[in-house]
Amino acid sequence: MFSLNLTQQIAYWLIFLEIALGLGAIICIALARLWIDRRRRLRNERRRQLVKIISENLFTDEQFNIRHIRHLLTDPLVVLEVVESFEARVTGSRWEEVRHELLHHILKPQVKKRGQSFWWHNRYIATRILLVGSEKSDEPLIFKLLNDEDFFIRMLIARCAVSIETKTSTFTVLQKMASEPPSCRFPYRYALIQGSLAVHKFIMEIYLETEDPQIKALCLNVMAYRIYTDVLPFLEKDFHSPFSEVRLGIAKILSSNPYSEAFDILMCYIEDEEPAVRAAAATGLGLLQDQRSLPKLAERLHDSDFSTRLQAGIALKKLGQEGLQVLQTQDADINPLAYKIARYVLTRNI
Amino acid sequence: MFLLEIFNPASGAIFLYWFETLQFFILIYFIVLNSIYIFLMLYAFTVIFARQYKIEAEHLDMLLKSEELPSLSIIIPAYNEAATIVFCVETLLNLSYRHKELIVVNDGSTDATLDILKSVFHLDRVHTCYEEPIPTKLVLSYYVSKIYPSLKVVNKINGGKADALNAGVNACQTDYFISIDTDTLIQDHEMNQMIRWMFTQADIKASGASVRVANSCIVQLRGIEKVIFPKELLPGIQAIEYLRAFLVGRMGWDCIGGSLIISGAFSFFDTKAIKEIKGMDTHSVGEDMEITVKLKMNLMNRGMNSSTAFIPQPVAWTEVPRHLGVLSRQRTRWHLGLIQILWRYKRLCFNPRYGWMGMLLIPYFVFGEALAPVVECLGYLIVIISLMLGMSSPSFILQFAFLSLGFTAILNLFCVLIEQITFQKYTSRSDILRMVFCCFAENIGYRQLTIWWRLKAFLKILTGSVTWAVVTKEGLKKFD
Repeated sequence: MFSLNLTQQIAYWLIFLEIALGLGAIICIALARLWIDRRRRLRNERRRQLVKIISENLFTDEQFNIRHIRHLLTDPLVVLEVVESFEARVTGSRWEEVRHELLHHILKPQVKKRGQSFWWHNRYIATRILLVGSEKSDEPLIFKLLNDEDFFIRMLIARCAVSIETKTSTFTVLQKMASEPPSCRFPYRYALIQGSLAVHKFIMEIYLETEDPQIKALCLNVMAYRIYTDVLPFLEKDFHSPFSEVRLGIAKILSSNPYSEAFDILMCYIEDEEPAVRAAAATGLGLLQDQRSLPKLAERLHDSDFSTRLQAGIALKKLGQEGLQVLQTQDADINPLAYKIARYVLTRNI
Repeated sequence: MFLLEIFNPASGAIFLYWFETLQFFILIYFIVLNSIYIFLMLYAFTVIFARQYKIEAEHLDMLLKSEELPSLSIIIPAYNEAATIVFCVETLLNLSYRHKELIVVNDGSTDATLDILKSVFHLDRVHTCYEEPIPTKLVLSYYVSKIYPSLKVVNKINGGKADALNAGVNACQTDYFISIDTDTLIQDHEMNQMIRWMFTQADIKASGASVRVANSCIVQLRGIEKVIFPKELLPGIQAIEYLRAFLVGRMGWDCIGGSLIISGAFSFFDTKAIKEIKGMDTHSVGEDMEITVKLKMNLMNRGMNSSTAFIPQPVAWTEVPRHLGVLSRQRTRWHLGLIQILWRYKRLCFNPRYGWMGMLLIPYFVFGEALAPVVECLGYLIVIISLMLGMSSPSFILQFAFLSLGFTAILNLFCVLIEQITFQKYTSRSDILRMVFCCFAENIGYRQLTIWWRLKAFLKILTGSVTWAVVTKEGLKKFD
């Protein structure tokens, strides 16, 4: 089928190619090893020297001057890592001085160029620099990076956007959070929860002003992590919102802040069509410990949703003797689902 | 040929025609398969390098210190694991990811597995309180540790690994779960990298990670303390085989939505997606492949993204067999599982409704994996027959053998190169030398043995003796 000579010639060439590739791969392995080791050693050495110089400077009155250590500041990632490590451990005027020198003479001048770079690595370094020290003037770049294609950059810059404490930046973070799939919202939520009192006030203002139910729900979601003295009038207009996420947000706030005034709305929510709202309402009613909720909670022990049944069981236990009686009288044959919950709640220290 | 023509010239010509046709098809098979390997390797090389570059620059702690991180469960099916279970649970409890719970499923062990767990972790028997959407063998009792509240133990009647995993999934209250074997060791930092990757890929329902060979490594309570390339030949060759399979095979297929297999030694799943497909098939020998195919098929039927992700970072480390007998049983079982699943899902093969999976992935697994030992065995037979009949010269046969075996060696060498440029797990010179040696040694003897072991799977199917072979492991050296 093939000419033997041609086949043999091809075979010879392929064998030659294989040998060349094999030898090439072995040489590359050796070179890679040497190059990577050298690079790592060099970086570690630079980092070690820089840390030493900064540490020594922190305990002297000498002014920190970068002119003499320029050779150690050629790799911005090394400088950034050193600044980040000190930032996490050291405070005080001496460190502020050193930080200012490194940030404003070495790192900050690179931010704009790196932040607009095509390369992910550059944009990422810009994000980290902004996280160490950002100002209101950096807002346009922060907003640009907030729409970056890379999730890791977006989630880091969200913290930065929250830290500059403006209403626009807070709203932009909320908008970005809304555009992400639910499982990817946690870094934004964390950034907003960690925000200052000013940021929190902005969130409340945004909640009142916006008509977008998703933004409203996200505001409520963040607000649910705080304790309020009187939040009912504030939430009143959305008690019967047609959007289940908004009702869920309100139910969560009310279930983490036990107001006796919230009883009626929680009693209404325990019959909501959305299972998550019913479960949150059951949790809230458990905290209020109002005996009037007993029949409704007993009814929810037979709910089709597992979470609601469980929360209703826990709430009944919190109601005291009457609630315990409801749980104890559940029959395994008549209501196996309610019985399972009752047995679990009664035997566990909840 | 000469002999055949003397006796019957006509049949000699027919034989020659068929023989040459077969030779031609085997040559085409060899070229196509190796071209696929080259493509997969080039793709894997690019992706791994880019991803590692990114991961190196990432400040992972910034993400992991968030209190808002999703919780995940680690499910550990255990059957007669009295010797290893405490070490396994303790290493998992030591993982730095805080939002985790451990679910050990005691699958009707006949040894002291449950008693040991009870006494070491102060287990408290509680009533179960979770829905059981996946039917399993009867759950006898449920325990929670008094000293580690995140440790739960499900005690059930024996039903096999898949059934135990299903019971674990039922008990799982978190959005994601990881399933691991009791002899799998997890590297903390790499696991965090995997979690970071998964939590940021919203529509990915399943993911696997590189599994490496832990033989010869120094193991402590924190997991692998020092990575050493296996000092014995058989585990060494398997380590290279694993490297090739994970870095080229699994990573390469990511370009069309992921491979068909997510290793049972370490896999990451979306709990809801697994509950929806009613968990794993308890009658399947290769449950890890079965769940992946079933999940992908289900997602495709519902018009959802069916991609699975693969994380090349060496997250999980496992002990491989040190003796040929044990290895033989393992490989026969793996191949048996592969054939069984491909047969069960045969309707997917060349089915355009299932996209790349139906048109390329399944056919590749049928022809490039399941039938590979048959074709390779035919290749060896042809070589022998053509030598006996004087149809090919010994030098030509030698060239062809060199070419074919050399290709695998080069593929292995490139995998070692990827490892050295990116993960750099093996650092000492002796490790690297042993790795390079094993790249070549795999082709002499070991490769031919694996063909035979995989052919035995076909024999088992033909004789109807399909059983779950027990693979005994000797345990890793642990230093406290």
